[in-house]
Amino acid sequence: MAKAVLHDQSGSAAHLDTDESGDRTVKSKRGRRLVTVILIFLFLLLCAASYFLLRLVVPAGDIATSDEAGGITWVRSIYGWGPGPDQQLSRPGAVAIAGDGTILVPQISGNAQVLRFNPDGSFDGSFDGGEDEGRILYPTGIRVGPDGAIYVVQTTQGNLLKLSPDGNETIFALDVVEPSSVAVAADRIVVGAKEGFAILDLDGTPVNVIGTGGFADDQFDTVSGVAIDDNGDIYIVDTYNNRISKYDQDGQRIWIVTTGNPGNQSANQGGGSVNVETDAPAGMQTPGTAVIDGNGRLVVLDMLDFSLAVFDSENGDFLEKYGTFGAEEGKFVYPSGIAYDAERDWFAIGDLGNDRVQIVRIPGSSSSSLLPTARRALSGALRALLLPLILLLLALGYWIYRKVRERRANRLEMHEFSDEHTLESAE
Amino acid sequence: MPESNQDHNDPNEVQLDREDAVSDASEDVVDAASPPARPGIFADPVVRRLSWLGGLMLVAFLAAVASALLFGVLNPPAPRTASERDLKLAETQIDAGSTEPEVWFSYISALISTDQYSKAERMINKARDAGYEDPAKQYLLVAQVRLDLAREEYQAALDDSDLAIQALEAQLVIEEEQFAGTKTPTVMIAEGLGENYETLLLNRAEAFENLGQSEDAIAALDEYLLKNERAADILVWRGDLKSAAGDTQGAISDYENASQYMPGDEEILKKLAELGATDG
Repeated sequence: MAKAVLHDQSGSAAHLDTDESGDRTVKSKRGRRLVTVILIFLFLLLCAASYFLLRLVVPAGDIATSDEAGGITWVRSIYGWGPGPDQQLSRPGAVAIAGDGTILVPQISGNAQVLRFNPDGSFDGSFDGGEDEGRILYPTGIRVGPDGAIYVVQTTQGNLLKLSPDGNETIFALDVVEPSSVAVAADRIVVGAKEGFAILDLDGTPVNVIGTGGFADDQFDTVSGVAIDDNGDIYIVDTYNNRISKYDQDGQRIWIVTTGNPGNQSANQGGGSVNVETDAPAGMQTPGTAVIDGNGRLVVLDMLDFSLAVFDSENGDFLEKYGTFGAEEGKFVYPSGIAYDAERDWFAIGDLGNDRVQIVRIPGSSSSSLLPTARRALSGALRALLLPLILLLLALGYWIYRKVRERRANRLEMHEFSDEHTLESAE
Repeated sequence: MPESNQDHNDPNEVQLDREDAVSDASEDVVDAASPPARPGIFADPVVRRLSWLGGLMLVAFLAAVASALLFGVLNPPAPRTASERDLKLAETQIDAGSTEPEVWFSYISALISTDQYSKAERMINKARDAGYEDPAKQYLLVAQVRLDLAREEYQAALDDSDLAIQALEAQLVIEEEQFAGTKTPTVMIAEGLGENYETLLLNRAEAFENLGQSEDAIAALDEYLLKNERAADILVWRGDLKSAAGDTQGAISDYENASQYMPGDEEILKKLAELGATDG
């Protein structure tokens, strides 16, 4: 290897090296030292800056870890729709999530209305219904249909309000006692009530009313939770009988499971209305609102157990329970409303006793597809890495483009050389 | 002797190589006829690559900051936690000109909860400079103790809590003199040193515990529990302190008392089981 030694101004050596391929390169010890020091300094500086940025990104306050919160992973809480004391949520019970991720929260105290929040927790407006019977007064159940219409059950008025995306409001009178919960599918509405549940078509025409009041298998004592799965099967949470049952579209029961001690029945027989001891694997106190998660499992909220219980929708087997009592973010005090966002794989929980709506995740709720996982990743602080990722991909693309061009040019050069060589040989 | 110096001592070789280098005009301009141009440090491809790496790191960082700002990661559009909500609420009221001591106390507490200690200190000083008198002054003293604890300055917390308690006692004396014999006593006269004093007792217990002074911590909790005998979490705390100090019977008694108010609490049952008081 031939070597030329040149000197820069500081007198340190810069070499001209010739490598084996014949290309000449320059080696600058001083330059390398300088750039290495700068790189290390820059790296430390960026680490420090990242640390302070991270502190800004991480929400401040008492946030329970997943272990502390009984397996719940907290995402964020929604406390109100403005900075004023009179703009804070008060006893939020029911909650729903629209197809675009908008979170709907009925506010009962003060001027009753339904508040809309964006998935990032920012306020997006409210509506309070029409006049007289259509006025929202005491919403106890709320769901958004596949067509984007909002359905609000009002126990005190005994009706169901349908608020279409075009702004039209329709009032469905319900022929059931004390309706309190609702679920909506593409072709039907199911309303849970004190003594059973009603199946309606999307125009509000009753198709079937199932159940009577009582403790026997086909009797009910306050249906606080209803859910419909992708097959159209219906799940009924019979709160005070402490049971969950599954019905097909025609109203034929598929299975029924006991989830704890029946409240009112026990009270009628001289026991307490709520008894901690139970043989039921789920050990629920007051099973309430229910949803089907992205994995097709039935998730039921338990207000007095401060938890979510997960059931196999095929046979009603109890799978797991998540959540615990507390005021820290991620814990609950009388949770009473639940909704699921399949796109973001998170649950919105109306945390009544803590005056907030919590956005949380539980293990295994997502389907195995990649999209919810990517959406889940990008719904958090990882969004900050989106631009660097795009830049990285652009840089990678440019580098590949250059390499391909170089290779093509080299190949051309070799062809030309080979052609010339052949020509010379021929001559 | 290093190879480079050897090369340097051989002028022919250098010249020869310089002439070679001239032909590589794009990278290294070394003219044989004129004095050779010194190649800059960026002529070294390793330096160039490292510089690129540094540049990319910087660009990636700036891009991360830009996307964090763009997607609202750095400036969340709404409070996400109770602490952030409290901060926003108090901030709004203070911005609106509130001089209510409770609002200032809430604001300072929220600043401490959100780890903004320097700002909390500034607000305490600002309120002090505003010349707040009792009872507003008491809130500031209690806030100062909270700040000391948050900063893990436990001795300072004890000193500041002494000052706060002295202020509370002085206020009580003044009120007793002022309202002696009247039928409408103040809250302080009716209820003693009040809620702030009870908070200070808990703060002192925390400071003593962290300073390793269990007996003083237990004494502070004893006084607190005199008026709050149903405070199950404080009973558990005192039980923990007694258990650590070797007073097993005292600890069991506290856990059992706490269990009356929190029946079936797994944590308490576990502690009792560990001390051999139940089957767990």
